Amino acid sequence: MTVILVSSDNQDFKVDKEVAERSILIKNMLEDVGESDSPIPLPNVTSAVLTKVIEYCEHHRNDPVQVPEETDDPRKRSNDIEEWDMKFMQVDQEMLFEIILAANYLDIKPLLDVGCKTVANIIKGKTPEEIRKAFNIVNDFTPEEEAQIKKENEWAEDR
Amino acid sequence: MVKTSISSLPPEIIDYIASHLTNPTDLNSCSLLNNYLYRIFTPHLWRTIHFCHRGQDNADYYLAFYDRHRVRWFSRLEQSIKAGSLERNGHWVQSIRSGYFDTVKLLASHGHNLTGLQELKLGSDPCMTTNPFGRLRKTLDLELLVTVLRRCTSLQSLKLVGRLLNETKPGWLKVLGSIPVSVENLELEDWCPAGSARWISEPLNNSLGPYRNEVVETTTQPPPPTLFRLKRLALISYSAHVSQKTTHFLLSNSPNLETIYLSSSNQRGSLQLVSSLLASHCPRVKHLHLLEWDNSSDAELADLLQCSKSGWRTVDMPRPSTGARQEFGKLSTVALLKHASTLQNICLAGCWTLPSSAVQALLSSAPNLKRFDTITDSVSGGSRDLTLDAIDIIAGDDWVCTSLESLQVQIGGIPRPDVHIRHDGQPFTSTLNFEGTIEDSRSIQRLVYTQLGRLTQLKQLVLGRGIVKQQTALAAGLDSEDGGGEESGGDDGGRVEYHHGFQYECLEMNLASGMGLMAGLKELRRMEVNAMATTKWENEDIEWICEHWPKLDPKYKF
Repeated sequence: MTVILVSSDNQDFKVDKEVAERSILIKNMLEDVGESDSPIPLPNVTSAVLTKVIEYCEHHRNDPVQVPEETDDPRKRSNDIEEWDMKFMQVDQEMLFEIILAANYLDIKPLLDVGCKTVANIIKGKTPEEIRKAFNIVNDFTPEEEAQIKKENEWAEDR
Repeated sequence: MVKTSISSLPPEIIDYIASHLTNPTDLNSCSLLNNYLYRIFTPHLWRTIHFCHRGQDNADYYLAFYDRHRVRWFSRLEQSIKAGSLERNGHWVQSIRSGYFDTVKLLASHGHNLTGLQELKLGSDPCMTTNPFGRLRKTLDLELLVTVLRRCTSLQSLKLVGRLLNETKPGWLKVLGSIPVSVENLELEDWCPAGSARWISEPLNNSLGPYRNEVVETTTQPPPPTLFRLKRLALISYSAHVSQKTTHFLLSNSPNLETIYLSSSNQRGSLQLVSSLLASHCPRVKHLHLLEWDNSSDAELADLLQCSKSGWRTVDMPRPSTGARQEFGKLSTVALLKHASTLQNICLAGCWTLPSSAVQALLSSAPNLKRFDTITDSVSGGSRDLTLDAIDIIAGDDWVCTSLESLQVQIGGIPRPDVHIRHDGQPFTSTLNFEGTIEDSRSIQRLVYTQLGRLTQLKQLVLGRGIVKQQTALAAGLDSEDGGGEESGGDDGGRVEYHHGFQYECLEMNLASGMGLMAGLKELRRMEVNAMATTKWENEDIEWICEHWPKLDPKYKF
């Protein structure tokens, strides 16, 4: 069985139900509507992003449904990313954040995880200046504010 | 359209990204990016205050380890707190781990905001005389610790390490009395007899005497409150001579204690003290961990095993690796078997003194077992592990532990006329212990497989873990199945040499010997049969394994 997903720029995507149901949002929608051929509009996702998301869901269509076995303790959480996922995430930053937003909206937990881990891995080991550069972030602290925070957080500095 | 960047992500997603960062240095860098990110990352940064250096995640660093990086870290922490950081961020802090006792000085004067502190792990500076980095042998003002503890009304976990652990120090009993009643987990590690008036070799006086009263008398405070919430108590690197009163106070004030963790003591008699206190004051104790507790006699182990009123769920007592003795004898074996109805987790790695018949008795009388491990993890351990004798399995009842998820046990006593040479390719210098035809062997093996086949929830099965140096010799000569009882090597009747714990009189682990009787083990994920005279798998064996044990990790399907 297939379903039709419609992106924000009105493009139709025909996908297997099994693949579409990787998204809990779509799964719940389908359950609510029952058997129906009507296309599902996804006004928050562009066709470029939806293409990527579907690619991910296709690849992971046979994964066991994630049990919330993974501990909430961040110390035990691993930041390892599967090889395929790592390659999949090699996109420009705008796309990376768009995928994260779409995963959040569509409720695809494993994709959200991979996206957030990718961002976390970019941050790791970098100085504030390097992170600002990597993500194009504008520093809006006054020099006094910045100095005060640096002083208070000194214990966490890497020296 | 505005380009999507990290600052345009909603806070809950950035929060989620932050939860993947554990190193304070990374969290600090993020909080310094801009105002928006500062607000999101600051709570994450301040949640846990602990040592960090050069990207190492030191969540579990050893509290009593000191080097120049730690010394510098502590002086930075001092600077931070003196700059007013705790006044501003203290309410975020859930956990503080510091190897420096001076931390309490800072918390006492700046920590009024630490209302959410759940975990405090505190070392007390170098105890040894070898510290080249200063801060040595400062007096520890325990009154400061009392101040901090009194304030931490939601503290759940408290760990104190090192020099301050000595009940002959002035103020220690007051510290004990100020442990917040909210504490669920208490660990006292690395007791420090240095400076104590008593000699370590002095025999321990086990009369329990009026310690309780003494505690109340020495503190001018009202009697300390009962630690109703305390579920777990760990006494590590225990030195009974400076902790006897403390042990007595804690155990007699913890009516709801469930877990007792005892590690590293070399004093005879200290186990007796703990056992008698547990027996009379802790009716709910049900998880026992006894590690590296030296020279425990049969009677001492029996006392300890008898002290649980509600029945042990966990008995975790691997044999000390220090070469000390931990003897299972008649008394302790009987005491252990009495808990068969409640036992869920057993670890008796290296406990070769526990008789094989007791292992069979547990497997056939402990219906709630989840884990039963008797094989040492380390490479060299094998030969000191116990062996469950097939004769006992055959003579015993059916195994009832059908919810068992992990079984690690060497099974021996199976005649193997098909085995002619040692694993290193040399002939045996003596006969094997059990004689019989291949038919005898197979009928015994089938009975053992039948028992194993009952364990349908089994996820891990380890029958052999030794490491054999001459890997190439492993398969040689073990393939013939028409053996018929001839023995290679001398016939002087002595025992076979077991190199690195190599097992000869074990299961063949193939279909021809009856492995098919284990077809019900659908949950099996891990199977170790290393350093065993198993028979090399044919294609049909491998096909069978793939079909019947679908979850088995491919790396075990060699």
